[in-house]
Amino acid sequence: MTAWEDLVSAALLGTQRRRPDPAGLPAALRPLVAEAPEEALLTAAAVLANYRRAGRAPARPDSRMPVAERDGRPLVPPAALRRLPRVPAELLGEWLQAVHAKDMRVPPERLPALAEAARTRPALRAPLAAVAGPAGSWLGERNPEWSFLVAAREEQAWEYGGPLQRREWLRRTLTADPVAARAALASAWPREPAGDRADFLAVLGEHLDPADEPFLEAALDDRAGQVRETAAELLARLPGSRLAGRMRERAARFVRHDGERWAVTLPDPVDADLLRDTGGVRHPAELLRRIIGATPLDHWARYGTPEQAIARPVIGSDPGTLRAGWVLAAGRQRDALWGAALLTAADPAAIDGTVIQMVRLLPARLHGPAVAVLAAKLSPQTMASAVALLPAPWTAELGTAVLDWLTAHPGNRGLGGAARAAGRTVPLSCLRHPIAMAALPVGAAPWWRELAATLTFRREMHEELS
Amino acid sequence: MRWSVDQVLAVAPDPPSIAAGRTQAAATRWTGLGASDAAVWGACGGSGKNPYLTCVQLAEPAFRCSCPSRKFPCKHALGLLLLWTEGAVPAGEEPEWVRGWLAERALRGRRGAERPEAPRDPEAAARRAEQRAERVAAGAAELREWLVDRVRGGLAGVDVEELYGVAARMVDAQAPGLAGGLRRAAGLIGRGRDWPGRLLTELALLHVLAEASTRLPTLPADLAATVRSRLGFPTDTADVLASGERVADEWLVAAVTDEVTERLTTRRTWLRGQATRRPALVLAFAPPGQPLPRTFPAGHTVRGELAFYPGAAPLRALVADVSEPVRSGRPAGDSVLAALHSFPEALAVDPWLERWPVVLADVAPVADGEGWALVDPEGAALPLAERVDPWPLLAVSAGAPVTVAGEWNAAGLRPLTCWDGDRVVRL
Repeated sequence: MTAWEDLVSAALLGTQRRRPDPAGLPAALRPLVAEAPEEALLTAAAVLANYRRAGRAPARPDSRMPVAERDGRPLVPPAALRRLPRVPAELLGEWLQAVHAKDMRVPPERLPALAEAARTRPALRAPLAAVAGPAGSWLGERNPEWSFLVAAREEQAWEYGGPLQRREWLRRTLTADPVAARAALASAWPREPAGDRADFLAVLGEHLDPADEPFLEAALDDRAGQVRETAAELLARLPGSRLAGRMRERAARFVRHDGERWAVTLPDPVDADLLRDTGGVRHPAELLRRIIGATPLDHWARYGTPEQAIARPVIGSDPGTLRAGWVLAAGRQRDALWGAALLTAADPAAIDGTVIQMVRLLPARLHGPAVAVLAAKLSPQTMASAVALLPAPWTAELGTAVLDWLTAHPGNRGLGGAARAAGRTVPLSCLRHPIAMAALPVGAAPWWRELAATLTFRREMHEELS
Repeated sequence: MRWSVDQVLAVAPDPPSIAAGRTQAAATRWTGLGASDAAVWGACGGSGKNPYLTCVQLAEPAFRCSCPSRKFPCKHALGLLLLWTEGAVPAGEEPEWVRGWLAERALRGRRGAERPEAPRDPEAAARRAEQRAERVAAGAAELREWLVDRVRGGLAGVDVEELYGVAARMVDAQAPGLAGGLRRAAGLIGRGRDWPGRLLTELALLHVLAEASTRLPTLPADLAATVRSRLGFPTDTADVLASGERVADEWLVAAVTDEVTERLTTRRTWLRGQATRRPALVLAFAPPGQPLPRTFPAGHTVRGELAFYPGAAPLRALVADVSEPVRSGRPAGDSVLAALHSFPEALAVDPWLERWPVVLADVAPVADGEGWALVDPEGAALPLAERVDPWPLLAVSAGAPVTVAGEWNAAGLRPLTCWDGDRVVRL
């Protein structure tokens, strides 16, 4: 025990029970302790405490840290930096993407706070990692909670990167060198965990090619349900695939054209081949929806236009099941004609997220009319929920149509949710919409001012970074 | 009269504090709850061994809590008030620690009100000074007795409440320096592995200070000035400007840091003479929420004279006559050994020194056990204090050597400024 520890334990226990040992003290202090023990202990402690503070030797660590590569990109301009603390969480991703697009970086001392934000909001991780650069990688290697900042070197990302980097690599390489990308995926495939396999398939889906069919067919027999389901989903988007052929046959068997009606037979949920092709659900109506959803839409062409097909009465099942299958197929096959017909025919009570997806299938010039179709069918409140479901990104036409629709209801206090969604989602070209630039109309609901403020905030945010 | 929930929410510093406060507003978390006309109080179980003591003076309002939160009021105070609005706090007699605090606040308020009208009557001033010296001496004697008693019985038996009680009596004795030390000591109990050692250090240094207070007339003038300032005797700034030591130099503003407590925001501006190498500390004060008087920004230099307060190791200074601040590049700094060597010299003449300014050149971060340290090119390293958030500094360095200015004491280094090339970064 050192003299100091001896003093501390005597003080803690009390000198009644324990006296410090004078022998351990520096000679100059010994006489003190021999006499009035409490005062002496306190004096000796004061002296020793300051000996210890004053005599502190530096540590001699034997390890050093690696030094991050220099980041030559310019810092974001001061005005943008002053704005950063005020950027609301839901616009932070947009701010980071704008910084990255200008090939700038944020001052490194701001990175920890941004990394903390990205830790709880995964959507910020990729844009932050790009902006953070080598300093971010260095931090990510030191702090496991920020490992998403670690940028594996491009050529090594597939071998050594984290899931995020590997997906990025795959995405990049599928564009730049699709053959190499597919070869890398196929050779790594058997060793990958199920969750990663499903994610890689989803990335492949963004670059889907008819040549991917054999690979996807094989994935229909995967051990993991998630992988089988994703594979079935992707195959359903390949109209010329064997799966599409099998589905055509089934569609013809279960949905027959009977005079002016559709006569439907529900499929048998013990058909093993059917279950393999649909990802393994066992509910008859859901099986039918998936069959229709995976059947090429041209299968129905011989029975008339999409409008006629949709309008025809149905016997043998809920007509909604058939329609839901077409919605699924139109989405997968990016079929604008079917999309427009389904949107127009949709029952106001049945308009849900999947029907709203149809808007995106339409060519940009039809986005305005599509919003008009929706607005005519739906009450402003229901329309407001539909707007919140419109899949991003929005085209300029869609953004303008939604802002125009909002402009037509200045006093409606129930549109706050739609206005917030629109404020965040409209593309840059809409930021000077009259709703943001003109004076607040008399009697405008509070969301109007908030929307105008959001659009103005985003406009200034981008101007500062340009 | 009981407050409404809205009144409680109105004193919260931010929405997260409100959310955190609601989690504390459960009677099961509290013991010793009570409310009088003047105050509401209670003890709230936290993560540590000892519960936090929380008290709200209703009139102003004013808040006190022994938790380490920098939010003000903290979630415990908000939770306590919310409980009270629900009628879940019984009426009761103020316990000693609450009464002491209220008395201390009343005294401070009165002194503040008296100050402006104090006439320049040297005889009365001398009489007051004598009276004060007597009261401080009585307080110091009481503190020494208490210390001896507690060391005999064992510091393990001392609790936060008792220390606050003694601190309140030191305020009554007009020795705020002694009171402040006791409150710091209260904050150490049960915190961290080596709290008994840190508690003994704090109390032993207070003991020396109390003892020194009885010997003021026999101490050398400089040391007496140091002791007086540590006890909390005020020094007239006009006297410092008129007769304090004047030092002219080009002063680097090495670091600026604000400390917010319930009654006061204190800004410490650390300066460093480029030619004299003299460190200087300029303090500025403001009530919470009020702007501080104009101070110099870190990373700038000013040319001119500072006037130092008297003392054995004069550190605190007033700005006497200086030019406008000019942006400066990365300053020259010291090695770790040189910075460490400057500290004991100051400590030898002012053993109560709490923090010492350092400017370290070319130090790189290195992992140091559970924490972090900064290592210089010669391989000598200083640990960062445990309470420091190391990440902004680590991010700026990214492994490369940087120049860092900060405060050093036994708990470690607290970096306040670093330079990213020539760009100054306030940490």
